[in-house]
Amino acid sequence: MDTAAILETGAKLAFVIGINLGFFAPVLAWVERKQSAVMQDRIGANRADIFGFTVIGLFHSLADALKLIFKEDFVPRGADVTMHRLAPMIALIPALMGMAVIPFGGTYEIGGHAVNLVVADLDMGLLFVFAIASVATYGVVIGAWASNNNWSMLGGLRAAAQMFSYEVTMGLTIIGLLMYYQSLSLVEIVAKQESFWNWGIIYQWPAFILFLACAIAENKRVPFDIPEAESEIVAGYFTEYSGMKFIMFWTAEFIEVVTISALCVVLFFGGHHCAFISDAGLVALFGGGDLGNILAMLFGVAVFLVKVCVLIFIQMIIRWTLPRFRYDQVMMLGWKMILPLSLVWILFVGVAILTGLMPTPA
Amino acid sequence: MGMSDDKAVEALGGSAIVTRLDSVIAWGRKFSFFTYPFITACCGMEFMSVAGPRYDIDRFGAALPRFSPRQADLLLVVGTISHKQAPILVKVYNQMAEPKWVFAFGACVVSGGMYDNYATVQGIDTLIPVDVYVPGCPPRPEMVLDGLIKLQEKVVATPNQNSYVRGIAPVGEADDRIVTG
Amino acid sequence: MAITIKKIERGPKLTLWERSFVPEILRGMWITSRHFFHNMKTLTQEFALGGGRSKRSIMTLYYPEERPVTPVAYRGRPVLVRGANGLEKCVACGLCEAACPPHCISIVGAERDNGDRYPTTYTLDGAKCIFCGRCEEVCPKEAIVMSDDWAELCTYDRGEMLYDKERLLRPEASLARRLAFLRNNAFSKARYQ
Repeated sequence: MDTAAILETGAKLAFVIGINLGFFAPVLAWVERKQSAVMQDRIGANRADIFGFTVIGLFHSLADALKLIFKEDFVPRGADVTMHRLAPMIALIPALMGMAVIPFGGTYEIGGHAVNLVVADLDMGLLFVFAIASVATYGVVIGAWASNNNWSMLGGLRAAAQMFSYEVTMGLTIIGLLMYYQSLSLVEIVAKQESFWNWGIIYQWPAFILFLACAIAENKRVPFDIPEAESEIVAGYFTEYSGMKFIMFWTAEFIEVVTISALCVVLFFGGHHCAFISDAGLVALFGGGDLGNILAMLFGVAVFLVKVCVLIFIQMIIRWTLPRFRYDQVMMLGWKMILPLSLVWILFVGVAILTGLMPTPA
Repeated sequence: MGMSDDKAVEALGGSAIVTRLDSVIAWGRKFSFFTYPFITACCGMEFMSVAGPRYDIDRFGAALPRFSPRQADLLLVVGTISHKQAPILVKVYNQMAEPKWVFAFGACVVSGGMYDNYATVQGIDTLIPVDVYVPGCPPRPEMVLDGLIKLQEKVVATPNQNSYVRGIAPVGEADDRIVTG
Repeated sequence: MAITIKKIERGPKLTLWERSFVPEILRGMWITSRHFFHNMKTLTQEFALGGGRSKRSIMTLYYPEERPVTPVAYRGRPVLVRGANGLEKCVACGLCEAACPPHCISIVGAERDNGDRYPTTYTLDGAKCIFCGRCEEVCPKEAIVMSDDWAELCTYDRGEMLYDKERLLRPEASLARRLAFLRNNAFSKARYQ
């Protein structure tokens, strides 16, 4: 590995982590407040000002972070001290790691060197994302169990059951898509979506609906937020967490929202591709050569981020519209409704591809 | 330390903004109260109106109700506290993580209000230290927001972190805090 | 003994599509999205395009910059009326003290040299006051009325809410609206001329 490759990977890693922790996490906290407010016919937080500038309430996220950092940090009596301190980290780090295989741009020729805008170009990228999502379950369960609290335990048990069942279902919903694209590598899947008619949403829209439902359930967001149901079990698995640990759980949840949106964009909505413009055409549009490639790269990243924001917006609408599912309804939905539907869809896709009804992209 | 803020700015030729860490933290704390709405009675209706679209408490950043005392920092005591409810209130107050503030909402909480009898606690400050008193039966939402503004001013006026540590309530058992480490 | 079975009609039967709740979910999301986009449009018109307050469809009242105008019958904090001669109209009869449900008023009365009664101390505990207005109803001299002071009464210390006579007095001219309402109100007992 020469220094250029190390620097390149370092830059990509810095971009991914920076934009997640620095942009998406605080902005998502702001979006949650503001979008819910505007949907509910009110103005959200808008009074936090630095020297008179209230930037439509963005400073409230900063105030939240500041306050939570300087809050008292403690471990409840009778709790397992090491596990209690470890759990938020186990919840946060896999959420960040999942972003490593998601391509936020294509391959560009800059300075005679092919720059592939993904931190880790794995052949089995999609499998990696699901595997890492499974590890995040440990953070929840350990945190719940280590708190020495009835409500945490209940929340943790519910979380464990819900996350495991929806992981199985999530994997199965994607298989139809994998048969369509004939690859597990996310970079290849994005590359095949250069033409608009190869986007996942065109032929695989049932898989999109099922995948979105499963992914929201995996992330424990409303309407599936049984593990952290406020009115039922105090605060569920993170009852006994405050301050920095609470920030870690909170941030992990928001980062997973971004990961799910990014995954949906990459699998179904063409990744960084602008519809009806091919890659080469885009570079030519920006003048070709090194500068054209750099501009095309920035444009691709911008398109990707815009699409991720649209998906986040849709998830927020779902969150603030729907009431919470009951726990048995959640389990029934996962095992008895989405799983059979995804199996039927796999069968249908298999038959359709064999008979040529669904033309696979090249 | 040693140089006042204005002199420091002057010494730098007016090209710098000087503040103290304490005031920055106080700024953060005042604009993001995670409230614990300890609602028992009719004042809860006014709390609902304050949190509703017309008088939006979210504008001040105090919108997220955290029903776990560990995560909340503003204990909104709303509604009559009876002697049966008092130990529960004290326990919740003890369990809250520092820094914490208490907001007495309504006449029943401030003094006993209309209920000067054997069953009602004659004012929350006989149990736990209170920061802002909001009278009224129930207080108008504007009064509640005014109380919140006064609490914000109090947070800014006492930025020294050590002045926030309250510990457990003066009544109740000593090991009520249920924390270790 | 035969057991009779009664069949209960549980309402209209839902179709499979309806039972999946997908139409309802989509309808709910449609309603909230409609609210969102409508409010975003009017907010942009108000702030970015400078259309002003009239363009706003969100009903939030920006307290403390904007205050609502309450009707004249709205009961705020009780205040003592300072009559035309600069003295309080109160004659320390004690009716308000007797009528107050939380017993928040305490009066010590005395006589002046010319025979007029007046309260030497008049204490109203704002912490206990429930703003019911009975003191105003029973007062025979229009000496205590409910003002329009229903905000900015919060304090850091409960003792500051113990209003004494000086803090309660208000000139009669500032309470003209309320007094006029009381006189014209058919149910008011303050019919003393």
